Amino acid sequence: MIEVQALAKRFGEVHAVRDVGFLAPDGQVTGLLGPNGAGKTTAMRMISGLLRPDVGSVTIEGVDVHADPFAARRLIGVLPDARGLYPRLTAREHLVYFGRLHSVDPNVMGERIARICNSLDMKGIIDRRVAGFSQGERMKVALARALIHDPPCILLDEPTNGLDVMSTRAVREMVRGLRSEGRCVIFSSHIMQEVAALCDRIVVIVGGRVIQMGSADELMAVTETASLEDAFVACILADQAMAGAA
Amino acid sequence: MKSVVGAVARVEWLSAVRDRRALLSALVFPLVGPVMIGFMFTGLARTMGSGEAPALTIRGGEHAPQLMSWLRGRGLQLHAAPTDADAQVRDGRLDVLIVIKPDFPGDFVAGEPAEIEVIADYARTSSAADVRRAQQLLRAYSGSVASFRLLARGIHPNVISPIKLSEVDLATPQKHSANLLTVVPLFVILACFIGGMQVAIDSTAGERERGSLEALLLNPVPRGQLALGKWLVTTGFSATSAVITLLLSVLSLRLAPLEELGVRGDLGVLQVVLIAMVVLPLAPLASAAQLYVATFARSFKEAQTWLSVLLFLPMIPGVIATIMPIRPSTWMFAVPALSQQLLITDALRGEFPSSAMVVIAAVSSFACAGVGVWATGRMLSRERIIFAGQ
Repeated sequence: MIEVQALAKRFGEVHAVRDVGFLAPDGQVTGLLGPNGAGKTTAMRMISGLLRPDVGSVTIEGVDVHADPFAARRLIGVLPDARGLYPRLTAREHLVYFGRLHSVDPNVMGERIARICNSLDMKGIIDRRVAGFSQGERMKVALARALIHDPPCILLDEPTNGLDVMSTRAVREMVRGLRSEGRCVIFSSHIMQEVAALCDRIVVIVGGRVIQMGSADELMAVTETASLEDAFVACILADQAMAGAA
Repeated sequence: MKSVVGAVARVEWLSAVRDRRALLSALVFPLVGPVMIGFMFTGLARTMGSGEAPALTIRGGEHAPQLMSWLRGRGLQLHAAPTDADAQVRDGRLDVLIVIKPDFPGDFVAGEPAEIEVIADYARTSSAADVRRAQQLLRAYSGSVASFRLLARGIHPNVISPIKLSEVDLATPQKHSANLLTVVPLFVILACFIGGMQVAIDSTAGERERGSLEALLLNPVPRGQLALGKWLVTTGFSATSAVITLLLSVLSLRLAPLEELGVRGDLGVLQVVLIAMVVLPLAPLASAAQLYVATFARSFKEAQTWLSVLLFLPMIPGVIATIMPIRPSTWMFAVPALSQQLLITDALRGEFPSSAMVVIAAVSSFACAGVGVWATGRMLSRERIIFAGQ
């Protein structure tokens, strides 16, 4: 379970995140939905502990991310915004590297790589160097790398960005699999269809603030709209109206 | 901690040995210095001109038969000048042309100073040695004729040389050669900086540019240990490059025609070991400094620019030393790069620097390297650095 409380972060004059707080329970996919520049990535970075919030706190399975960052990092697997790979290493070498940095028991490593390899359908590429990989193959390596230490909580920053249909489907399957294993998954996206299809709970972030929260149905009910898209647009318009009034 | 540093070092090592650019800079640069040294000394030996039998090209030799036979007596081969000899001197095919005018015999017999022209391009350094030799020979002949004339008048030739200059050179042949050999330490020191440069850039600015830094920093690992692992591999490349440069330089000096220069340039095993001991502590320092600077850079290219500037730092002491000779004092041995320069110069002169100075130099280099690695680790914790350029 991830508990996010009243996060705020400013870069110079820019308030990237003003007030983001929500609860992501185990066995559910929590979607962070927001337009580009809403502050999703900054919020994700504060949750993963890479950025220190000016205000607010994050706990992962009860561990405060900023008080005990190492303990917290062992509990989450993160697919960050920048998911670069080492072009001259093979996929397997990536997994072994991150496994060792997470102190994964060497006796378990081989079996775990085989399992991840299986669930992400990476058998054909596991021993090839990453340099010539397609976007989808790169994404798989980056995802596998985030899961190598078998974390109970998973943070995915726009995982389907730039992927073709087949790869997008593979990622969705993967996320459903993680949920059915009882893990806590946070998933950020600016694509409503994706959030609608995958997420149990949706947190709508606009202008660095959480402005709505709930299941897709609840969001439609609150905004008195018939589709999630309309609900999303209603949220954005309401925020713009508020900003205009202020 | 060991396993983390080991994991980082293993990955950086794999990345580096599979990177043609990194291998090139580590393995090709070491060839440059020794090859240059070889060419330099061979070229130098040629300008000193000692190989072939000495020869002189003379026009109008028939006007001074005595001079001609005197020169032949000195073992010189005399060639009559071709008609275009002046043109040959002008465009460099001929170094010196001696011209004896038709009025030479008249003046000579009359006891007037008889003129001999030494025609050469005095701006051309490659013919300087031949010109000097021709002048010396003619002066020697002039001196011997003068002595005979004095004797004929009943005067001892010593009358006209009240002072006898004799040069007593206290420098050993090794000291002379040391001046020429200072290029060796310069190349070895440069190799310390160039050998690990690509690795340093790739593992810092490169890591950020390709977007793998964020994922790396999400691991539950102290940033200092990441820096330590990257530093170990960079140092490995840098030290390897320095050792190769040193060994090839020694080989190159062995093959160069140093005896012809009257220079003793062959380094003994002890000297080579000493130089290695003195220079190698510079490798970890150079690597740490490069990692630190490259971590600041927003991109691969920016890092390359900064590291090329950094490359000039170790050359400063050497340049200053050539312009104005410095008298070594103890504090200088605590300044990295400067201390290495001083110690190596000593070693090349055949003097063994005191072990205290060697230790001071090594300790100060290692200490600075430690600070550099620590600072790089600190840097990797800064939000501004992690997300620079975004």
